Amino acid sequence: MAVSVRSLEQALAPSIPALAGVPEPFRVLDVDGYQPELSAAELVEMYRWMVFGRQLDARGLQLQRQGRVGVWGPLIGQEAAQVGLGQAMRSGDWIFPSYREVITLLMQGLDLIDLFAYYRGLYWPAEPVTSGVFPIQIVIGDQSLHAVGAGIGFALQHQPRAAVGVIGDGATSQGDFLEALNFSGVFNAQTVLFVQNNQWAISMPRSRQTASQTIAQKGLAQGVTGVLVDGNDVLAVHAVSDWALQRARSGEGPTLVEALTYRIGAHTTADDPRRYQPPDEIEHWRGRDPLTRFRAYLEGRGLWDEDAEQETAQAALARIDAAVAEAESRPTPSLETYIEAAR
Amino acid sequence: MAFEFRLPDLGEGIREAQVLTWKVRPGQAISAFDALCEVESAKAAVELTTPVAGTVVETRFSEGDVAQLGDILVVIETANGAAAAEKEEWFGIVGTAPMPAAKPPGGENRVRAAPLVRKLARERGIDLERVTGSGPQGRIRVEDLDLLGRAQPPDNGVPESDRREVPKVSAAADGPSTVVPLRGLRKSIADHMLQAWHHAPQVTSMDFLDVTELVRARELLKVSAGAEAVKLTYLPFFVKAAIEALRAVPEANATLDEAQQAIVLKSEYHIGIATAVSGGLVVPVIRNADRLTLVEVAREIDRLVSAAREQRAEPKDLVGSTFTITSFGGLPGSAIFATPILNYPEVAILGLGRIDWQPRVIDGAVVPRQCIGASFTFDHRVLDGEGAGRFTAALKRFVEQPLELLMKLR
Amino acid sequence: MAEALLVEAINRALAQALGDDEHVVVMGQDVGQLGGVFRATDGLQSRFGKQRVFDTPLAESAIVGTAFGMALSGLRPITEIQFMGFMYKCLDQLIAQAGQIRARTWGQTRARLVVRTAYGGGVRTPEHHSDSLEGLLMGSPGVKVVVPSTPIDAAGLLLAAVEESDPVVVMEPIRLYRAVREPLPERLSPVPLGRARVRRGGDDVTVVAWGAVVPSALQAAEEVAAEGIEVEVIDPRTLQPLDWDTLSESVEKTGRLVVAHEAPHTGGPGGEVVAGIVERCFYALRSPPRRVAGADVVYPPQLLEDAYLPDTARITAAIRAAMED
Repeated sequence: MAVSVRSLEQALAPSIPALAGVPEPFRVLDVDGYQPELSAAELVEMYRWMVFGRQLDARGLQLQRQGRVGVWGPLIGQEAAQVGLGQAMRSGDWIFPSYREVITLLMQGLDLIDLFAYYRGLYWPAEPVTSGVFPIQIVIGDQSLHAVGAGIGFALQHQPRAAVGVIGDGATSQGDFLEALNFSGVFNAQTVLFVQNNQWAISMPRSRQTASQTIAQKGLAQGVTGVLVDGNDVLAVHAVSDWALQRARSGEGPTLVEALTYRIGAHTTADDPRRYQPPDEIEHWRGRDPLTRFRAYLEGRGLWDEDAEQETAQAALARIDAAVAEAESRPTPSLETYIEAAR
Repeated sequence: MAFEFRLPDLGEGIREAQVLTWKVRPGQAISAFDALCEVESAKAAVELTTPVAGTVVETRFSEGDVAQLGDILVVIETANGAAAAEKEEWFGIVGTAPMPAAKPPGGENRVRAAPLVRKLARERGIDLERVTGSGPQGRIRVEDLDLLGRAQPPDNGVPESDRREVPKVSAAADGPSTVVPLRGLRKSIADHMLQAWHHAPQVTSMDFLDVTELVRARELLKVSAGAEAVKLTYLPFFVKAAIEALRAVPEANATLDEAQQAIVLKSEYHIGIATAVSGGLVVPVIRNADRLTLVEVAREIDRLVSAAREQRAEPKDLVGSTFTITSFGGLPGSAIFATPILNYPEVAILGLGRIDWQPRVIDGAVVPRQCIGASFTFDHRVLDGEGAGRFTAALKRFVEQPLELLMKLR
Repeated sequence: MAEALLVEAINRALAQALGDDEHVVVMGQDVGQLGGVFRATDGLQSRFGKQRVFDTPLAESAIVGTAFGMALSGLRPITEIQFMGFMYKCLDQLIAQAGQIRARTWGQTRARLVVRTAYGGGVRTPEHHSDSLEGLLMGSPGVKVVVPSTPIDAAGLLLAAVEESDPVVVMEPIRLYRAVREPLPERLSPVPLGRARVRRGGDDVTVVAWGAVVPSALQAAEEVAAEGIEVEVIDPRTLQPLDWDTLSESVEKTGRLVVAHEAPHTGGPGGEVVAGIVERCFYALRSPPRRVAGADVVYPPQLLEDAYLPDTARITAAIRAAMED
């Protein structure tokens, strides 16, 4: 259900970087009396996705340590930033992800089996132009240009849809990101550049990634509206994403969204964060777990309880395990098939 | 069946990890994703979980030991046995791919000549070593070959004009055709067949073998073989029976050394299995087949045939047979009997045709029995009909009464 | 039929492509208002409008990267990278992104993207403007490369490139932009990719050359003809994929090969041609295949470039050497 663009803009004002002052992360979960324009069913649906994401992440780690997937990039702690965005996207919108926002991809229709087929060590089996879910991007930041290009294409062809490029804080240092931001402004691309600022780019903390106080204000220099949001507040993320996507679809212009969250886990299973990530910092952010916060909100409204939590977690595991088994039972295509398709 | 959980790659480039604590013990029943142990690598301490459900058979490595990437950490007995898929087996009539020559033929490399010149020299039967090159550094040029061709008499007394390699087929006379050059495996097989044909006077004796009991025996043993993840065909039985027959007739497990003019009796039993591969035939070898159990023979056949078909057979697997079996009965419409060509320089080969119902006379009555055609080709320089008969009689004993193999069990 | 220079042929082909398919857009630095630094896109913006022909900010990676995104959305972008020496900046987007998307999606997604770029030396440009990077591209699966040496081929290869479903780089030899002219029909036809053209027939030596080296190769052939050496000059026109049938048929006949190109010698595209011919025509070879290429050094400053570039003299020398069996 759409959030009215005009009513939100006033609430968002303190979170939109301006030449003077520092933007405040937009949040609603801690605000008394906030009424999201989402139905009870939609709210519960969002939380179910967050629980699913948490289970998926735990399973992914185990599978990697069983040698069944090559590498896993933990997403624990970032569920709200992914689900809030996913809930606001519509069919017809395109997403150009990095490699961490798998919940959003699944919400946009990526088949879980296809995801595990990819992780097993095959190329992207899903058809991106039809599904709107583009392959995971390994070259940091490149996808921002693709999202802007698609957004320009949508504008030139008068199609009311949006392209979302999801990047991390590290990617915002890449030339391609800055070029993308610039192009998006010049061509009024129907694009949302969504930064999952989890504050770590492998071992590089956000404070050393850029001297800028926020990432959202990088848009200001390029003439592109930026907005800073509490990435662990799923309702805030949803509200901002919905607002930005509507702007994009209607041709009002691109938005740079910075979702402030935290990487609780390692960069990937090949990383040892004990060497650089302060434990007390991790503990601090564990205390601001997006699932805990939203669950409290739902329970406060009588929409959730422990039974639902258990049942959802079990169902998630069952679905995940079934998808893994299915992906593992798929025959591996021959090299000839690959060469035939690739050439 | 046993599932071996090996130390996985815990992260980019990790090659070993130390076992910290075990979370399971032998005999324990476990479910998928239960914790097995905690290990420490250079990068982190991680918990390893099991991909399968079952019972822990054994844990290798004690707490504190260091395991390498790929080492088996735990053996788990899973609930379901593996069902081996039945595949259509078909082998062809014998052929071998000789090993590639280790060195190019000597001499040619001391000569300096372009590829075209070498090719023309080969075609004209000119030995480049006998040619004086007019090019820089004694390089031989096409013109030098032309001069030579005119000055020297032909080698074998055949006038040059008549010295052609193969008469060219005239398209006009024979109608349109497609020319496929003889190359690679096909050429090897052609050469080998010709060699066997030329050297050994070969005779084939043929008989039906009643395999009704063998069919029954195989049915009975298929399940236990399957439990060991082995597909049991008739071939392992024939291998074993043939070995007993070779024991009875040692001259059939031999070669004829023409240089020494002697029969070389082999004391080992390396049984070649003629195998159809894409492009022709190869003969992978089951080494010391007498020392293997029936199941081990079956497993080895499977390994060799798969490797041969996927073109990854190692050279050592393709040489050294003392006796060969060729099974050509697998395809519909295939023959019962044939006259297989020897796998030269072996002196005997057993050909197996298709298994089919035949009318047999038993105790005066005509009854249908399952029979296989056995075609035994032998080198008549070494064996006579009497020896061949003794061979096939021995073979018959162990094939028609498979239990007789128990008499030979050590 | 009116005559056109090579650069005018490109202009006409672009106009035809824009007119035939509304999804075609032309984009790059200075292509719109200015009509391109070499005037290749002259007049197109006023004719087709700013939605179809537009200038981009100065960012090669973004030009190709956003064009990739546009191609995914259904447009057919023809981008321009002003000079090939600046392509390093966009190789990631071209090769790793647009070039690999087909393989990465099992053939389901293809990037219909054309990158036109001016390349080659002999025109006294500053540093970095004369680089020939076809070797890098040929070694990168997923990207096709064409290089015309005549106006008809320039128009035809460009039209064919626009029809391709995968990224194509069109290398336009700067030295030939205004140096070659020929009559062009009203309606231009595509020249199929992967098809070489025998510019001159001969039985003695095969000379393979492309781009601005072709006229030098033809001139060298004329010179040695006086000595009784008949050279067959072949312009591959497409470097990736190469027309091996035409090339090997020629070397089977002549037994001798000379490859001439501006790119540096070591690791250069000539090596691929030689290796491929040796594999296919080994037993026909009468003498070692030879390469006439740029030296293994960074492209030299303007005053030295004539000594660096493969010219008629170096090609004739190679031809005579090849004739010494």
